[in-house]
Order: sequence, then C-alpha cells, then structure tokens
Amino acid sequence: MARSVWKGPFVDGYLLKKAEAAQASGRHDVIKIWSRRSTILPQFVGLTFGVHNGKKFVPVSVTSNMIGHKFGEFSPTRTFYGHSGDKKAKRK
Amino acid sequence: MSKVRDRVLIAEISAAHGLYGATKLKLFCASLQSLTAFTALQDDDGKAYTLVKARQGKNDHEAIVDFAEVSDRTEAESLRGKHLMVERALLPETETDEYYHADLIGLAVHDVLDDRLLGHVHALYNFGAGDILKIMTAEGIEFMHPFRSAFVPSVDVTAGKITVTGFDETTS
Repeated sequence: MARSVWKGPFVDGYLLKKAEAAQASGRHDVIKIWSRRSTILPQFVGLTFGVHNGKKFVPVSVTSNMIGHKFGEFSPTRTFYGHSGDKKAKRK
Repeated sequence: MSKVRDRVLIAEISAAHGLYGATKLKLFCASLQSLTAFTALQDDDGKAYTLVKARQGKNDHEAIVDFAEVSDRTEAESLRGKHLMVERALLPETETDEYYHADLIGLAVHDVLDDRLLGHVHALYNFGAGDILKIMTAEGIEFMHPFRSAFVPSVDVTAGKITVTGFDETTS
C-alpha cells in the first residue's frame, strides 16, 4: 500500500541538516549518509551524497528526475561484476 | 607514455548454437548494434573472426552470431570461453568529456592539491545516479568517487593521469 499523501515524504532529520549545511558552505563534498530510506527532495538536487550500502559509501549525484525515489535505490548492496566493453562515461 | 589500450574486449563466446556453427555470445558492449558495427573481431591469440550475421539472443546481453571461419557445431563448441576483441582505434570518437571505460581503467589517480598518488582506476559503475570511479589504492583498499567535473577536475588519458578533489579516504 502506498504511503498516505497527508504525511508528506519521509526524510531523516539529520539528512536535511547536512544538506542545508553543504548548500550553505558551497563546497563540493560528498555528504555521507546512512539513511537509505529517506526520500529524495527537490532541495537535494545538485548535491552529491555518499549512500552507505552496508560496506562502503556509493556516490549518488542527485538530479531532478530522481526526486521522489529513495536514496537506497541508487546504492546497490550486492556485489556487481561486469566488463567495460565499449561503454562510455560522461563527466558532467 | 601513452596508456591507451590496443584492444578492447567486447564479447565472450558462451556456447554453440544449432548445428551449423552459430555461436552464442555474451555481450560486454552497449548493444547488438555496437557489435555489428565491427565486422572483424579477434580472440585472445589474435586470430581473426569475420562477422557474417548477428541477431539478438534471449536478452540485451546475449547475441547469436555466425562467423565466416566457423562452419559446424564441433568447431563452435571448441571456441567456448574465447574473448572477442576489437582494435581500440576502430571505436567511434567520443564527445567532449566522454570517455570509454576501457581508456579510464588503469589510469593513475592523483590528488589535485598536492599531486599525491591515491591509487588507480579499477572500474567504472553507474547505478542510475551518475558515473562512479572505483579507485583502488596500492594497499588494496577500494574507494568510490563521483565522476563529475566538480570532483574530477582533469582527465588526461594520454598521460595516464586523473586528478580528483574532495577525495575522502574514510569512505572505503
């Protein structure tokens, strides 16, 4: 069952404080968080979080189309194996 | 010294398919279209294979192909496990600030502040939230670092060097 709308999105309080502090400082740092359950809010767009996956912090660069998703969706907890092949990476 | 690789791994022969020498490939390239762009492939020993026909397998990472050099199932079965590669020079040019994973893997990672060697690029991932560099130090400790211009000010593939900023050694 979906979460009731009247409750609003769930976000851990400490995460909001960290995001505000990072925006105020203007520095480009990875904000380390453990809250995989928190919803990505519009004020997080442009920030980079390090979301803990149980072992390490996976960098998550928040963009507008990630709003409404949970942080944990972008930080897999299982080991990933693969080959690079002809895949490309874009430095944005 | 140039760190650009000569050949890039794009597929692996996983099994024989049918009676007439077709092979099943596990694709490491972006799609089947990327594979069909190359007609000449090479295995680990440098033996050439000419791609005649290719079609999609059960999923996006599987293809069934016919090679001109393989005519029966026995021959196709003997190729199982072979890696197929293409010349790096044959890959299409990339856009500005776009890099092939194969070019970035192995580059030395230096800190932008003091030019200290932090490690080497071990792998690149994308879990839906931007590209990520996996950096491995000389001690074998792995770190993940965002591949964004704010965190990676410069990439020099020919010099074999990447500089990073905001590198946090506590995020291993």
